[in-house]
Amino acid sequence: MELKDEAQALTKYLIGENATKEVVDLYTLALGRIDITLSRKELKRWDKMIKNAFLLKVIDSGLAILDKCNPIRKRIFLMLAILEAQPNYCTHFFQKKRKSWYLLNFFYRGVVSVFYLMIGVLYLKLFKI
Amino acid sequence: MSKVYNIIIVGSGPSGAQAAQTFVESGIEVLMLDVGEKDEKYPNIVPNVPFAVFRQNDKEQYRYLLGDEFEAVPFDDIKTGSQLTPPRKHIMRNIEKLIPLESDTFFPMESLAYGGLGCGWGGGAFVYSDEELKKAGLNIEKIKEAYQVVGDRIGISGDLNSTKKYSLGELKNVQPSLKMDNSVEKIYSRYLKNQSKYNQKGVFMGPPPMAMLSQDLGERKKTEYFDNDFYTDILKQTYRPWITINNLKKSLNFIYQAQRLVIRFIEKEDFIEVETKNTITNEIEYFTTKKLILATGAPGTARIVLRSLSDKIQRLPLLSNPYNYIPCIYPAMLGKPLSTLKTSVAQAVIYLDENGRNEDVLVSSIFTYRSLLLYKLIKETPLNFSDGRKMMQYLQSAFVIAGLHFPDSFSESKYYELINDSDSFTGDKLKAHYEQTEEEKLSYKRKLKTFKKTLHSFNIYPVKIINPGFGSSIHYAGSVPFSSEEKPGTLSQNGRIHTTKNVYIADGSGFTYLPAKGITFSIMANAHCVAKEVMKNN
Repeated sequence: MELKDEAQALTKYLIGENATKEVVDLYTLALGRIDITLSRKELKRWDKMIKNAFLLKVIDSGLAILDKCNPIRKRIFLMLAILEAQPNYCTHFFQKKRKSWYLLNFFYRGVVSVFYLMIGVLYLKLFKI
Repeated sequence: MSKVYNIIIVGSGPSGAQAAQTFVESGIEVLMLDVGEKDEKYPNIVPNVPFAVFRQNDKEQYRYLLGDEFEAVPFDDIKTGSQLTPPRKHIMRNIEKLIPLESDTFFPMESLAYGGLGCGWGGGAFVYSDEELKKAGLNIEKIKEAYQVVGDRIGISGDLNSTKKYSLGELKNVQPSLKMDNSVEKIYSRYLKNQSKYNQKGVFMGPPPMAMLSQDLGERKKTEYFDNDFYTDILKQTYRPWITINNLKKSLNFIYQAQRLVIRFIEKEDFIEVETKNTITNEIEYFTTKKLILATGAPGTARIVLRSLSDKIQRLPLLSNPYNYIPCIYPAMLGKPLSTLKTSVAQAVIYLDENGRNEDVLVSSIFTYRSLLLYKLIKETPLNFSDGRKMMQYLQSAFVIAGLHFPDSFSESKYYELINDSDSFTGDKLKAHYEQTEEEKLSYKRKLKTFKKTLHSFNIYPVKIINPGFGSSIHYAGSVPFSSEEKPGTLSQNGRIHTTKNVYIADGSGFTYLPAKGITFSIMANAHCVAKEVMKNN
């Protein structure tokens, strides 16, 4: 899997947008400077995650509970940091303004997150990752 | 023999800078020995515009937000120093290489920077109460005078009304307090409405006493509330010791020598030899002085004293405020934007003085969260990063962080020792041990519970209690405590190390008790006192 594809998949997953060339370059640069090595097993899993957005979310959710410092999480976290430090994406990290469905949206998000957590934990336990 | 200096000061941090200024202003020649790590990369690239503005404009922001080497992205668990931003990372540069410390229980932040730990000081400038000064072994009258001298030098803003007795004492020439942001202002309004009820329970709240300017002071400018305080000192709005050192360098009787790590002192009949190691060439070099002032901070001073007096002492005590930080949700701010213009530092301070005696006071600085970026908060949630981001977008402005300090006293189970390590730069390593006594553990738990109740009374709800480990308060003292007896490893009242004739300590090593209030202003005041005493004895 090329780093460009990783950067695209992660950007889509994290903020729902396409990665700009700057983001792809920064992600590539960062991985050259920071050692986030994946084991053979993790690499196999990672390739599947990058190809499948649903799996990406499920495994990220499970790892958030079971192994939050896993190298897979570190790679996603690195992209999250890069995106927040981009002027064209930083609004995705600004305070959401209060609108009429604000609280309902908030609770809906919470329920969805917990749902993914449960599936993620179950997935990782079943496949013993 | 090489040149004999009148005074050598070791370290350029808050205490070294203040001691140096006192000597230099009195016309005495001073040589300052320091390692002097500097930030050469980032100081000129952080724009001086409001945080929200540069976030949407500056394409290079990743450099100072994350670092050229992505060194400020905290991948692992939270530990001391993990929140330092790239422009502040030099504070801890070369620590592990030059002054290693081994411990399973104590994780201090030390610095070899030009300006020492003062480069990252949050600016909290608390005056100890008479009771606290007494317990710390300090001379009440002299320190009070020194607070004023140092306060006038560095500029203090704060509240001269309701919390004066916990924050600024009898300090004069205080600038108006800094503006709180809208979130903490709301909490403060609640306090003011119910002040007498809170006070009856020993709860006091007010703006923090700060070494941050609300009015211009000489070359230094008042804060513009750009919320960029963790990234730049461009206006010099917060006092940094390097401001003093830069000014002292203009004096003919001040010499600053960087890249020298002081290893030990050897006291001879009429002079002292100071052994240093050049941090670039690794060469050993000796400097000679009539009087030596150690001002490297308590752990650094412990190293030098243990090496120099190894025939007399093998272990030194330590004090450090236990510290927790508590991320909380303040529902009243849900969905409401945080003030665009604000400082990044503490917005208010809550004091918990249960016995009303102003001695074992619990002190909590209240922060809101924005300029350290959201991704660091997202990492702490038990959620996938995608949903974590969305949730945190809703919660961001409702986050309130309470940084909670507890007072500290001596016990047998808190100490420093020096152990051999032939691989290290100095051939040794400082070993630290910090364990609370059963009594302290109980008191800590009880106080934490009371504080959580206090937060609830403000309608602030703790999400998690984070314990970054002992040493993370960055308040260190007590390694060579004041004593009236002439015994090794202790200090006389005037700051001289007992059993030496001309070696003094100007940092917080002498303190025999560590109040929960920030120590920096007090060690600066003490450094001024020590310098005065040295001149008196000269």
